[in-house]
Amino acid sequence: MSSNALIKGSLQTIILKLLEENEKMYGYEITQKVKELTAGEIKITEGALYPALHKLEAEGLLTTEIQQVDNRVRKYYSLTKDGQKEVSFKLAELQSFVESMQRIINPGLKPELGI
Amino acid sequence: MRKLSEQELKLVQTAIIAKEISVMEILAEVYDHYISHLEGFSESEFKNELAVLDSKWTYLYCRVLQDDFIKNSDKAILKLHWQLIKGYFTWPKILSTVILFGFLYGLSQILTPAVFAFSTILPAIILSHIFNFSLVYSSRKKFKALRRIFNLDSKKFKLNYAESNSLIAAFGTLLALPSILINGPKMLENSTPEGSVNWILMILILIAFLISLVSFSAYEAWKIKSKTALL
Repeated sequence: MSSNALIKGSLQTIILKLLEENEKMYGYEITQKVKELTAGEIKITEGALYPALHKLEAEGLLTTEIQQVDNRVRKYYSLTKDGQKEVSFKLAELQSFVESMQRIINPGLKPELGI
Repeated sequence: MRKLSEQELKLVQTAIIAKEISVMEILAEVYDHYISHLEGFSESEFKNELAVLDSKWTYLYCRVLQDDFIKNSDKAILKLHWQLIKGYFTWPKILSTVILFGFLYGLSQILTPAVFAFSTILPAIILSHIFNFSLVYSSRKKFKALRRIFNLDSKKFKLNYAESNSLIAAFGTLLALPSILINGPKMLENSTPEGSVNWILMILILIAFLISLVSFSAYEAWKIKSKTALL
């Protein structure tokens, strides 16, 4: 399993990317989707997920929608217009970071290969 | 995926009640998380999985989460308010803003300062009370099922509808300004220099103008948030 510190640094990007592809999701669904996509390699903890969701909502990048499910309330998150713009920025930032890390880990790799 | 039995639901509710979560939005989210997780496990695994969840959603974590949620909610509402107010000074809304200012100015010229102050303050106070009451009512209605499940109305701690409260607070803080509107006419009556009268009257007009803008933005913020949030 990947280190929690590594995941925490890219958690916002993960959330935004998932919501870009899935339109709307609720908290538990996000944890399960990440687990499924990474074959259990990355597990998002509740301790990190919900504060991140609330922060993104407060920043105006996410909006919420309430649905009644059985006898309880379910809060769905989706991207706002600002959130949609932010996804590409965050992804480019992460991509660039990963490339830089690759160069550090494998100094023999040429930058023009675009890894 | 299976439905939890009544007995299992009771165990979940007991576990969550022990965390003394008072912010309804957080309570709703925690409860949904617990059920969504537990529905994916068999009856024999239930108790173990409930313990796993409890070890993650500790009392302390829930406290921090709800405190952060209140802060974020206040921040978001203030940001929304500010955006809406700024919007009143952009085309085409600025036309209505200018008309409003002109109306208040005209009113100040035909009414005595005291009557002017009270004719602008009174509707604001009445409206703010109606607004606060309707917000609390609609929040309570949306959380009715949850309140009943957790028997929350009998709990000692005060329930907190964070998003409604943030909206009321953002509106209420600025509505503290009417105290100046009450004291303003007194200042006018007591002031002796001729030139200072117009200056104070101008401040009264500006305050009445600001209160009107805040009232409109509070209503608009509620319209926007009520579509998405739990208020």
